[in-house]
Amino acid sequence: MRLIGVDIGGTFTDFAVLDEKTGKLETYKTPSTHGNPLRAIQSGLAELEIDVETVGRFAHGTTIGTNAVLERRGARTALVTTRGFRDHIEIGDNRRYTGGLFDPHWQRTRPLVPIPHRFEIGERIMGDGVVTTPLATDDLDDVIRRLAHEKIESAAVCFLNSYRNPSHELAVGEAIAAGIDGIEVSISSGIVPEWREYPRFSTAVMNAYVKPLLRSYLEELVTELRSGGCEGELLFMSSSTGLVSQASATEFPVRLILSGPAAGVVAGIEIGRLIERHDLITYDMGGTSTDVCLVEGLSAPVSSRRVLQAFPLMTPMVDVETVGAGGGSIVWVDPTGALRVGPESAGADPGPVSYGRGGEAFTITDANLLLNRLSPAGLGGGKIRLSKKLAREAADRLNAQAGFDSATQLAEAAVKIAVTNMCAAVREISVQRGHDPRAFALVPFGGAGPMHATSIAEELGILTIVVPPAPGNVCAVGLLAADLRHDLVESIPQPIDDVDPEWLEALLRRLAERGRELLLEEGVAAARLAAQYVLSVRYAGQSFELDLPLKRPRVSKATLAREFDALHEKTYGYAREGHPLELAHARVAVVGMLKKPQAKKRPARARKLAKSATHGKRRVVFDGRAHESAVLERGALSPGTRFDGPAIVEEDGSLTVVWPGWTARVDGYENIVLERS
Amino acid sequence: MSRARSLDPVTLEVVHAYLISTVREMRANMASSGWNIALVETLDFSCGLISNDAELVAMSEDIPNHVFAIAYHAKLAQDTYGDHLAPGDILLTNDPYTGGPHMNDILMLYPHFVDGELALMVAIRAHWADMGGKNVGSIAGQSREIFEEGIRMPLVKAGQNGVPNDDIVQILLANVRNRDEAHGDFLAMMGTCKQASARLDEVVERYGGDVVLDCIDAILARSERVVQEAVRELPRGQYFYEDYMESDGYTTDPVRAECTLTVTGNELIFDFTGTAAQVRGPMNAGPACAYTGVFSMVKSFLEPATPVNGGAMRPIQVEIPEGTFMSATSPAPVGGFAEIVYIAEHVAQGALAQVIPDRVGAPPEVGANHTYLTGWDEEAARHWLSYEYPRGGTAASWLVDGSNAVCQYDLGDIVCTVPVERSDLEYPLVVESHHLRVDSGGPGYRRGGLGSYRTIRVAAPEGCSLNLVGEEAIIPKLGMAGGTTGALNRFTILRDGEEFIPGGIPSKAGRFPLLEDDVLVIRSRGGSGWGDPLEREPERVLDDVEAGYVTRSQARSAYGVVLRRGKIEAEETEALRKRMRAARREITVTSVPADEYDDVGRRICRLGRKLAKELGVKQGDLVEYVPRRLGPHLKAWVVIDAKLAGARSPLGPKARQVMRARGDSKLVLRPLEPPI
Repeated sequence: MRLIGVDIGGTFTDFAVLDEKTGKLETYKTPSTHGNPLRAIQSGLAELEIDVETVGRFAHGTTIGTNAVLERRGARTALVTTRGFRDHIEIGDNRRYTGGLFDPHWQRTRPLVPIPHRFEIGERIMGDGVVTTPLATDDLDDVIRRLAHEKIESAAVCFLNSYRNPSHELAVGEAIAAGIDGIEVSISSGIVPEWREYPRFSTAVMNAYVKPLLRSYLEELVTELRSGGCEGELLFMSSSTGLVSQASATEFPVRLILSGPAAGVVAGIEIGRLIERHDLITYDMGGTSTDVCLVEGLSAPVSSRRVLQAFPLMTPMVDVETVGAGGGSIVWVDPTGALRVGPESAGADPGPVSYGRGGEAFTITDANLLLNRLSPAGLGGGKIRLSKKLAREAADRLNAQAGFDSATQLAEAAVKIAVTNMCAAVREISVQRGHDPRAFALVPFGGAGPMHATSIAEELGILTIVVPPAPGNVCAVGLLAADLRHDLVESIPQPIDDVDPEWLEALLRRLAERGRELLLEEGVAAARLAAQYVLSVRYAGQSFELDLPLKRPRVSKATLAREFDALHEKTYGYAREGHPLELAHARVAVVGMLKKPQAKKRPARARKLAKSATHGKRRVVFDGRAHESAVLERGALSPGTRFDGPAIVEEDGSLTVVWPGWTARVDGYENIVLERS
Repeated sequence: MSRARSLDPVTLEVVHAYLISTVREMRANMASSGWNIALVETLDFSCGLISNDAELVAMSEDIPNHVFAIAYHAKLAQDTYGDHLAPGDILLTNDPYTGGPHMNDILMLYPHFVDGELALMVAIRAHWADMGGKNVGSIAGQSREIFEEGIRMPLVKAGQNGVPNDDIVQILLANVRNRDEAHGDFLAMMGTCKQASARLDEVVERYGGDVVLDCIDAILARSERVVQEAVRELPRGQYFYEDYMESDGYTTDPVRAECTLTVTGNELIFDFTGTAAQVRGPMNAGPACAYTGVFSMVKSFLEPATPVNGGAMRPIQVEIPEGTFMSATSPAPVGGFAEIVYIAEHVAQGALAQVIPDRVGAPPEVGANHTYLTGWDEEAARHWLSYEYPRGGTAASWLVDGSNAVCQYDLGDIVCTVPVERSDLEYPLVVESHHLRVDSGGPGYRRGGLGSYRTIRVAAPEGCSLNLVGEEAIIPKLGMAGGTTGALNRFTILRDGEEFIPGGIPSKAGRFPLLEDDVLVIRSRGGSGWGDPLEREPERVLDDVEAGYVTRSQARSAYGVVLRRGKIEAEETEALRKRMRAARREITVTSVPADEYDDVGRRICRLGRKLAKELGVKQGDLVEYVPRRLGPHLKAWVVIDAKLAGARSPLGPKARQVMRARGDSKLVLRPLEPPI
């Protein structure tokens, strides 16, 4: 049987195929097909000559939901809300969320649901869950009629305090589903049973907006695979790094918003597990943006406070930081004469100026070309020839305003600025949260990741870089390494002093049991389950909690207090020892562990570089000087091989730059491990 | 363009990015680890790094009136302590008169040393829920003295060697309501300063102290140079503008502000001489507020592209005479400080709009809308305090419509209303509705954003009271380049079916007692429009109607667009617009040697009886002069003058300059009225 991971990205659809018998892993890339993403999957499967009958598991990551929001191609969506609060979803909390200071031309992003598609129903539940205004059934009937009349495809039901008492939301949701054929319904408390209504409503509306699209896409995909005779598991990557079933993905598509980046983080963790490095920074640099994530103790950080486009979301999402710096990021000069990079990208079409397809923008790709780090053959094995002449001309045009001594100097500055921006993102997830990046191994991937990894490491003082095999396909590989996961949360606001440890343990175990049942429904054998327990705790009187991971569900109050004080001091720079604590939420992640590719470790006896691995030399610019650098072919580097920078390692889809002062070795898992000499 | 050759440009960018990201991290730290709701829910705090010359080096999406007041106090700290500052000092102040903004915004400065020398000051200004004084929450629309607004801390060392001075902290905490929360806020500020200082150590360790200091100089010099170049291109001369606050908290007599902008070739000098003396009520401020207003306008319209720092202010001089309401002295209360920022913005923008009429948007929104609902929680034995400042629609620019009920570009990116579900749990209040105010945006070629409508029912059986401080509830702000004003702010109480203004003066209330089941109705203003609404593309008007922002009736009455069955009636629209243009009334200017103001300081517009009748205005009505070209409008109050005939109306030299009018020029005159 085969396990297949397919990740649909903005530019490419990536495949990773594992033959369970031989253990052989194959990767493949084909351009994504917008409008009909299934076509790229079909053509990839055909190209790889895969008979779907032999597929034991199909794990899928997709950005369809994200793109539908960004491009405003979602469903005709309605909001059904508490009487009086029609526009709460638009006004929110008065925050801009997208910059705009000193910008008189800033404009608020219009909400996903316009006023004429917002409907109110008489009802009100208070913060203690008590109904003060019963559900107005007349309103409900009227709303159902109007939803039908407006040909609404998807409705979000969002009532105040439903996290405390969901009865009105549930009743209205059922009535709408029963009253209108084929309409999708999303219930805010069903997606996030937590307080603060604006982000909860916003999450529910986004769920509703992408739901019909996701449902039909998933149905089509599943039908395609099943009708071809596939009987294996079909699973989908959620933003919180766990795989979920088709039913769950269809019901809660908003939980798939960061599907792709989550798969990358999983892959990074898997690499860390193999090489026994538990603290990692994953660094995924593609054409338009870079995602970075800090992994501590081999577990993916997950948070519920993020913004997509201009809309806050509360679903658990892997805590990746995204910056608009990729290979296609445009280099420009601001009015002060300062060089800037991104966030505008030249995209794939017309692409960087050196592609010679009519693009005029000088990009990070062009800068790397001028520095000779990238060869005119590019990353695609020469499918697109890059023109140095066009790149240099574009650099000279910029230089008229920027005033560098040469095009090369400008190119190096541009790359360094991009690196600075990416480092800022790494700092955001590391230093800001009390982590010293120097204690972490950097795992770079994506087409452009390994090209800039040594610069990032230099800047942040990172000592070790681990470049995985097939860096351009890491997200698809990650899909094969992912487990099933359910995140359960229960609000249990109370003073810690009142908490009975036995009761708490029972609650945590009950949540774990519920997660176990969900996994069983998805067909995972009970023996392969694990639960992670977290308590959200704050000082009494504070508003935001810190998530305190528990080693086991039984914990004494004294231990809780001690660990919380320490975590607070580390995170925020102060603690209030002895101050009363409050419990806010109990969170349990239940993970159903799946069979994964078992990478075999090959012997890696130290050996020198084989002659056959070197296929030339280039004069590559590092820190203003051209260094004669060996150009190596990755496929010819066997485990154990050691070599010193400066060197360039080329492979299909990516390229690793080894700076002077760095040493490389290939480990038993065929990772290139870079360390400072 | 020359650049300091000794400084590697890449290092400069890296250090700069590092400093800004330090401020962003400070924000994240404060937002998560603070205690009072104003910090953690509404993000009413700012962080910054200040140079050893007391100039702002880095900020993020912070609140300008906090940040520039920080620079004033950093200067005071350096002047006061000089060489006696040491690493680990914790400086504290909330003194409005030596900077700003108001008593609740308490500042912590944490000097950062490099190689034994003061290099930077880490700064946080954070809104504490209560500073003591007469009213819960400490600010109110009818305070008479600053002593009602709580404890005033002169600049003090509230700690040394990173350890708080317990004597000082205890004095402070003994004077505020809810001391445990305030103590938490103090610790959160201190923790954040320390984290930031550790981050600065890292950048110094990496690049060296000299390099970091050189970078700071270069960052400031670079912004200075850009603004200077922008200033050099401006036509030299003097430009005058005036505007009004509508009330001092006691009467509804307007309070005039004046600004004379001098463009010298190298510098812009904003001189507020002529501005009214400090007032009896809380509508006063320390000098940092007017300074902030000037900076926000210059930054936003003259030179928006470069990073925000004090270097950009070097070519700009601001003169604020002491004793005016913009630079008040004891015992003037200052709870209305935010309105001083706004009025300064308006007069500075009006002057700037004469210099660069094609690059200035509609006047920014006015009215901080500080809304405090407070009481005593018997069971918990503590005060409760709900603090919101609902935003209105934002101003249009020539490029874009304003946005609906959101922080405008002159404010940090902050939350201004408490989450309903939080309010439900914490306060004996029930938020009952939250809507947009349809038709409230000021019509224009680009439309102002819509304001909001929010109602809150009192569920406390007794002891609830209301404090309000705001503006733009009586006198509308102007449009720009022919655009129209938006709807006014309006705060009312609904009691037994009657709606009334609490305390009698709109948007100003102090400790106004509320009864159980009273409903506070908050209507926030619409943004001003930019350009002639009759020039707005009919398709956009249709889109506004379909989106539910504009009614069909306003589409017709304000934009001259006729819609029928969801379609534009092109011919009827053309004809209607023609009629509407023809119906506009113009005055013919008679030059007079002096501008005329009445005894409370309002500009007078003399009109003959017939003209007044045609305009539909009567004695005392507010009107606006509208230029025929791009540029600012001007407010005046009608005096009917039986001696005037025809369309003749006298205009003094200042007004002629603003309107670029001479004797016999024609100007559009119209009543200044909100759209709803």
